[in-house]
Amino acid sequence: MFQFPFNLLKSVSDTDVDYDELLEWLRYQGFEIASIEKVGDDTLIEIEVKANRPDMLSVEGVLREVYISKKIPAPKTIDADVKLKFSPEHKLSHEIKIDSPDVHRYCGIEITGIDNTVKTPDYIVDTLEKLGIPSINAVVDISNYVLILIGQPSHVFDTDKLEGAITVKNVDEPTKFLTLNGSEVEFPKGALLITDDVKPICAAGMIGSPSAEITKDTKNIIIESANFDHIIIRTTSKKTHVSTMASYRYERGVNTELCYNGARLLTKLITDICGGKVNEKAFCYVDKVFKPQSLTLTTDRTNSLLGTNLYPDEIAEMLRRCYFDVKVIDGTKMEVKVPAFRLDIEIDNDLIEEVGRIYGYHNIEPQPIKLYAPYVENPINKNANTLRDIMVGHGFIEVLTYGFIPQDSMRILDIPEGSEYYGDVHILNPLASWFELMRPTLSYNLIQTAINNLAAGKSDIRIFELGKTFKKTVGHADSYDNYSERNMFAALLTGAKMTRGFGATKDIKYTVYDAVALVKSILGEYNLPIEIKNSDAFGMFEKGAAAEITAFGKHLGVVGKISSKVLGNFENGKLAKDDVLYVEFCYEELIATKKSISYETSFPSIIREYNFIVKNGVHFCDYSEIITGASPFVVSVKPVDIYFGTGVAKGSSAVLVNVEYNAKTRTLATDEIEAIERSFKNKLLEKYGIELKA
Amino acid sequence: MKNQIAKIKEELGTKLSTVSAADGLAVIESSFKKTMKELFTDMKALVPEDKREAGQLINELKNEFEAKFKAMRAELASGAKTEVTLDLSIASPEFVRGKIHPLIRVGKMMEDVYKEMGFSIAYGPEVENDKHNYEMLNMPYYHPARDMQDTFYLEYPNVLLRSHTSCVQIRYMLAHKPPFMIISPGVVYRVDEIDMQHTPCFYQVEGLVVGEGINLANLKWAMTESAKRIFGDSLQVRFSPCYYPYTEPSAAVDMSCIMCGGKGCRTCKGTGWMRVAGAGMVHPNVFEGVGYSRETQGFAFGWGLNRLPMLYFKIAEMRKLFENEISLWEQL
Repeated sequence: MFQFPFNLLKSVSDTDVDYDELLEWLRYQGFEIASIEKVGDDTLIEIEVKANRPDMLSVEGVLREVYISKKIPAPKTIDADVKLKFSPEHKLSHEIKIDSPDVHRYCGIEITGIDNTVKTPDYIVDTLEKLGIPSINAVVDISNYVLILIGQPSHVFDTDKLEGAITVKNVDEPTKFLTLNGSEVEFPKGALLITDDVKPICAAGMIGSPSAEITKDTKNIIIESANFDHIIIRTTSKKTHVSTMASYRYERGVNTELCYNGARLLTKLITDICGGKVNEKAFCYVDKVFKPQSLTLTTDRTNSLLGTNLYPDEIAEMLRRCYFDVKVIDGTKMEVKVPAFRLDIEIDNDLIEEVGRIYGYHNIEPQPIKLYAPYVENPINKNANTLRDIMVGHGFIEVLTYGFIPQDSMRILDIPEGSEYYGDVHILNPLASWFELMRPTLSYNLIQTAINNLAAGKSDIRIFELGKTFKKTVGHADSYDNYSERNMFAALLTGAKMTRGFGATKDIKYTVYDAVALVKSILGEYNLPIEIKNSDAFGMFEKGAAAEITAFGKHLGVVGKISSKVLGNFENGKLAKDDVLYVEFCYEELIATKKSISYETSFPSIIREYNFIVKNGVHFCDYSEIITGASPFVVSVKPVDIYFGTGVAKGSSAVLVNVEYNAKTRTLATDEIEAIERSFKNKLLEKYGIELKA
Repeated sequence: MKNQIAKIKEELGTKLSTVSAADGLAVIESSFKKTMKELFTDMKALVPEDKREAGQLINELKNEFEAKFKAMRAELASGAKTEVTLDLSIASPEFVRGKIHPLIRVGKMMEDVYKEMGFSIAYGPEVENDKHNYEMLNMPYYHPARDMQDTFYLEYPNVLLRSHTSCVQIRYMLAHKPPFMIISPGVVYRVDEIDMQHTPCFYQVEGLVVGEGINLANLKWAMTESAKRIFGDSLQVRFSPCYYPYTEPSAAVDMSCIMCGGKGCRTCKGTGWMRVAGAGMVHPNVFEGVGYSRETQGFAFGWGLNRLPMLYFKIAEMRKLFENEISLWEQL
């Protein structure tokens, strides 16, 4: 972001600047107007400057865009007419030693005998105040003003507070010092600091220290107008959480050649305002002499990437408008020299964007894609859509929740460490402790959602979610591989499946059998050999009311009744008065097998119902196999009802089972059926102790 | 006799108009048969001239009503007339269809449109590494653009939650050779406190088209075409220069406001436009990183998928998308 007063822009321009035209141009060029604020007779304009255009973080940069818009052949340079001779050989009262590859330029200008008690001129104070920068004293204010004006950060040392040479170096060990904003900061090993022989005096390109601070009493100064490497400033700023106007610019990049203009401007303004005598022999360290970057751009590549039909001269003209030095070589190729202020231009694509920008993206005609790329179906996407269709048909509402759950959610869900659903993927920088764990199950969020809705007055809830769950799988060479994630489906149901009225004399509530029916209905779509067997190994469910879902002997998911203990662990969990039933399974590997319809017989089936007394722990999936296996004439065995209570001994239940008999080629005789019945009744009694209810 | 027949006719007419069940009709029919029998007996006592006239009238009466009875029997049997008229403005609570989450609904609309345009769907992990999420997308560790995509980190070094689905594109390119057209929808994470406009997770639909001659004009077509197919033909789409480290040239994509149709309203802050996506030509460094030549051409785009459903379904705040108030989703 860069904010500037419109009047300041106008005051430094040699051409008329129209407010509306400026905003329109900036918008078209991709500099979004973030805010506009009226301040007296001035307007503060804030533009969004992306990371690639640090040259736009100054009034001079914005003015350059104004000049481009007006096709003015040369950009405006804000500089001052001051006699300064820069040389690394020049010695100041304090020697300047550069001992780091992170310093690209370092200008030191010495001024003696200034009067810093003078009032900062109104035009400077006014500019700074509009931008929310407090006025400190004349020299400091001038330094800030120059930064806004041309984008060159600077620092000024009080010479009388310096002890020995000024050294710029990457520190060997973490160094702590008090910064100008009043807090003590530890700069990490390798940070670029400026010290004198005794103490740190500045974190280069970031923030100064009171140890060499400019005050109203300051008489003698050394101005620093330098250029530091963006990487060191960026990494130090991130590690120390120190961000200043200077570091913001350096970490994005500052034109190396700008430091000379900055030095001259500062010298001129300081001596004009505070007086003093300038040592014309300024120090200057240069790591590498600036040489404009030269790039080759072809017409073919430009047109091919933009989808345009531009001629080389048109392309050259557009680039020249942006102050590139362009030489058309042979009608298809051009050599382009990049001006120093365009740090973002590194390759031909960057130039092509410039061409597109000036040509206008709106002038590029859309063209349909002519490409043959075969469509490949994504099985996870297909399964997710199938599951959504099924659930919508079943009357469930889809919810979406965050991927993270509370730190103590495993305790809340009563999930033991060995469980398939135990969470162990922690976030190092969570927003809060309730967002600390990556979910190993969708249950926490679904239960929470159900409770929230019960609290809002809902009573019958049917919800589902499709989302990822996370687990650690330690021991891999690449630490990234130590995590696994699965695409899971989960559904929660509680309350009445049928409410009183329209024939029902009372509400009929969901039971765990409905949750099992739901699993069978959903997975029935895939025609897999699903097995659902009781298991209490997973946590979160009521003991004895939980089961594992497997297919081909592989764990697929769980189904059961959430335990009242777990519900009680949730705030407002007591609102869940009816059974809360939950299903969760992994859907990413589900593959449907082909189904076909059979026309087996025209002879009528014979249906018989049996009321079995079944001991707890004996499963229908097991004993029904005995009935099915008793004769090939047993076509189907279906549970019709299960009953506990009066007339049934404790520890047992009465299960009403419907058996369909059909011989397919003839009608079965009663004695044949009775023979089959005798056969399975004996086996049921022998193997499972199952008897017919008297 | 003539009067007597007229009277019978009138009485029968009245009786029949009130009959609403087969039982009632049978009673009337049997009484009618009796009356006819009586009429024939009476007729016999008449003088021959009157007899002929009366016989004709009685026959007419008999034929008329027997036809009526027959028609009514058929009518009643078909159930066209019932004893009680049911109030069918009442529905029982049976058969309530479920609802798909509004964000997913808009996501599916997009997926469908892109599938129709020939795009395949690619997924990738949400737990990513620095290399796929930043480095290979031309965002080295010191890149300031990382500030905009600050994310959550896990215990092992350089393992994080993806801040965009562009890493899916990197994975796809590492595993496939052009040409291809893919979209990668999914959840992404950013360190954003929950408020009216921010949530720490949100959804993106990113796209990638790589192949010979793919250009910015194709990108404009793909974005404009898909937006129009989803939101209607009257929609306008505009492109302006922008910056993303992984594309060059880059474009910001604005859509005419779907709330006001571009006239200017509170939602679009009076501009008539909404920023909905970012896009651009894939940066040569990205292609080089996945082993393609730097001259490869392709475009990428990314739609933020939280704002669109909010606008489409008039959802007041972004965080509401994750609060799952059932009574709200039931309205869909």
